[in-house]
Amino acid sequence: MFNADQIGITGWALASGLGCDRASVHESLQTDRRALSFEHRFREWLHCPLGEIPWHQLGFERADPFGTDLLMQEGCRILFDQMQQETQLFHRFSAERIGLFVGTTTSGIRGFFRALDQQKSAPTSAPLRADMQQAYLMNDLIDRFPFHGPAWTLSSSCAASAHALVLASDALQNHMIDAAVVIGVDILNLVTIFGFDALQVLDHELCQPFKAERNGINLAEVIAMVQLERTPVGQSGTVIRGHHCLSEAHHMTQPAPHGIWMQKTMEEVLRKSGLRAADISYINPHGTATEANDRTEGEALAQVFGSERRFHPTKKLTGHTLGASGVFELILSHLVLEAGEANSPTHLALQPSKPRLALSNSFGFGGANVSIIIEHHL
Amino acid sequence: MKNVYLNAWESVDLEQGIDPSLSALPLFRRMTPLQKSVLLAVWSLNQRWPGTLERLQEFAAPIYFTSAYGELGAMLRVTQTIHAQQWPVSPKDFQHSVLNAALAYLAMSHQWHQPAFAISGGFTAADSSLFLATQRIAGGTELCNVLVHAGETHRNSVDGAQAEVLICSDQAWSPLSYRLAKQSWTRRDKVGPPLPHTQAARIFREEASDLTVPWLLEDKAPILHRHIETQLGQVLVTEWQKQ
Repeated sequence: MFNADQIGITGWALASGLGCDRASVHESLQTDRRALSFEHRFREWLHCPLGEIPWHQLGFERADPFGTDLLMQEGCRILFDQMQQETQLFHRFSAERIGLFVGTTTSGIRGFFRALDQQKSAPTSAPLRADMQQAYLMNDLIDRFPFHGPAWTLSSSCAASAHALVLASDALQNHMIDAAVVIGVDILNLVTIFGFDALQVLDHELCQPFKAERNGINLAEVIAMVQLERTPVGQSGTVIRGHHCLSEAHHMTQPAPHGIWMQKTMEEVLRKSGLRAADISYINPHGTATEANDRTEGEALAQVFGSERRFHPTKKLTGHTLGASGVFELILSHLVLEAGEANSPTHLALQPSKPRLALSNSFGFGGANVSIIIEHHL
Repeated sequence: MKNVYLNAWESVDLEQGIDPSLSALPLFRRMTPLQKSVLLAVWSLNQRWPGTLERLQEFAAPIYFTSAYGELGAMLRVTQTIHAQQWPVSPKDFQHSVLNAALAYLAMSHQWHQPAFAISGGFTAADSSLFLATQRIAGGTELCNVLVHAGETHRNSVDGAQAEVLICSDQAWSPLSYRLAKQSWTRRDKVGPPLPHTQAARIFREEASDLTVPWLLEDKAPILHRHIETQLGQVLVTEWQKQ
């Protein structure tokens, strides 16, 4: 059951520990290669594995641990430029009809440190700087490229870029815009590292999503982006089949018991997409490897889908890329569907089915739940 | 395109005091000023427009929360700790530093399960989110939604915060409702002299803003003709008309 307009993924680009090009990412996914290392630019402060972008592959001689915004801006410019040249975005669409949707939790952090550097002593009132706003990255892209349409920065914790995907998809569906660029970006920095360390949710060894011996998350960074457009029904490629968001209204950092709202999110996206649980061939769960998330999400997944044979928690390979994980894991899900059964990741029993359908979950602090279903046509 | 109506609105300033019944809420004491202002704004909205919260539940109205600088105080405390190399960071401050923390407390306080989006829009925080909220109704994505715009002010004390809340829908709820008459989002290639505008429009220009962000309400009433220009040449225009 399709809507009159499908929302197709017509371009993508990413830089992550898995690699910065299609071949590297494909190979990493197929072989379940883990892109997490103890040798990282924050080892002076943190003795845990992290998932770093191989910045040298993007042309950076070294990545400054304090240069979060610069890495984010330059990395996004490089990747977006690649993507827009491939898709001919600005030639095919009027600049006023292109929407920009950024999902991030770490843009603007560097501005706070710059403000403190300026003030020397602890400020009694807040110093306001434009680079303290999370919209700072979005504004940089608007400044560098001819985006003349609407633009928003979403920052709903680990659901940030999943929310960006949802709003972009809706904006295309209701003809507010004709094309959307959706970016998920979070770059490792001291606030994230010390913050999650303070919450005592970091695993000091390699993370183990959904395993009994799991002990927390490995933090990671990624720049991931997709181009979305309305595409004709029946055209080959990957489309967004449906999405559902809700608020758990339970706790700031803990999911509700038994994953009841996670279950509701997945049941609703299936219902809205006109699908049954058995139709889904690949599931990319949120799967952070924290005790609480995996226990509750595991219960919810079992209630909705039963068998674990379709689950592929890619944070085991990539680490947790926080607000960027929604777009990142949508791209990974797309690649798995595109590769097909013969090239599916090791140990994953991808069900042969036509069309191929994948579900991706993002569950953020504050109970921000999102499930998205994509569909791939050969 | 559907008509869009502004049906209810309210603004609050924490420095003008908090109703004791609100401050008695168990969660209230542990909230940041931003979070308190959001709760207070929604509570005050329901006092001024009784029955609104029930209506929002009935419509499962999505919430668009926007703030230019977000949890300024919590984020400053986290970054100060790191800057001064006095870690560990306070886990409470870190939890409260995320932009959607106020949304989480709002949802928990009212047991609201509808989708809730946290948006950072810089100078256009309020206007770009208003554009999103109204265009989603105009395009038929939803029937009704809630826009909450808040900011910590740090004007006279570190406990200062303001918030405003607006309720839009595809139906007029009362004779006091305003109809969306005009709305546009454009960008000029080069920032030049102000664009021509209607005589009555209130103009907000980023270059003259001292980094403060324009509010949607003034003296608890909507600014009916708005014209906002950013340093990047973006121009957002919104006009409301009396029914």
